[in-house]
Amino acid sequence: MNTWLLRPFTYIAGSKALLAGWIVMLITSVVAYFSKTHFDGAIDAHVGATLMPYFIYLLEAFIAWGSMVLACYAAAAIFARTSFRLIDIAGTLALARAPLLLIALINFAMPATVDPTAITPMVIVLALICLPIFIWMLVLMYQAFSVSVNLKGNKAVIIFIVALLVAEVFSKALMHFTFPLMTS
Amino acid sequence: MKQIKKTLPLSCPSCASPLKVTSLACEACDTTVSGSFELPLLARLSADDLQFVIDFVKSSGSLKLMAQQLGLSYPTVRNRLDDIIASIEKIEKI
Repeated sequence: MNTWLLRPFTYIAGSKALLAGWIVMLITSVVAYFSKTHFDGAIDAHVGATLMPYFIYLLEAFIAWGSMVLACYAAAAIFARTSFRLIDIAGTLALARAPLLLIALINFAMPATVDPTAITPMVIVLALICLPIFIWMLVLMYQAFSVSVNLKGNKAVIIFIVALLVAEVFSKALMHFTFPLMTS
Repeated sequence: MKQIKKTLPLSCPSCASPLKVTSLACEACDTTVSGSFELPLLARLSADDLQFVIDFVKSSGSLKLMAQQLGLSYPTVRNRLDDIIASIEKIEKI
């Protein structure tokens, strides 16, 4: 049970994981649309005050995932000592985003808070519930990277963190420059 | 009486150096051959690793087939093979 929750990629990877991951990402984007949740970055989750067109929620999911795939593939190309496949990186990283569906569902109860002084106890409780789910996603993403490119230990953790930061910056920049063009 | 499954000891329990074969016996005629023989490279792998190599050969070297048979993902099986290759390279250096 623990292995399936924390190391599912021991059992599933490649095209099967990619298909399952894309289906979950699609469902997550629909739920996110109705709960106004933006996954606007490789590791971001925010509740928006205004409703955006649906394709924005879908694009956010695919840009965030695609940025992680690119960053991890580049990191693997530089540091991996053995052969690896893009389909494994893409598939496992898509499925690793599955916990975001829970966050999108929880955010139906989360009020949009723009002013930090207006944070209610309800917001804090929901944020605390979301935190372990978010950590679970990070663990899954690391496992996806580790299993796909056969890197382990401290070196793998450091490489993964750098790839995560690069993906975050890249996805944020991509959304910042492209979304205004699409919504104007 | 419960039969004990014996495993081939690969390293010296005292100093951890690799062990050598010094005696071979024929159970049919009680002939004993003595000397100092190196263990074959594959015999120096752990029992699990050796079983993996046997399964790999039996599946015609197809990692995809092995992954299906073991119920594991392709990269998990490939990583195991990569680890065994690293072990073999380490043994060769000794």
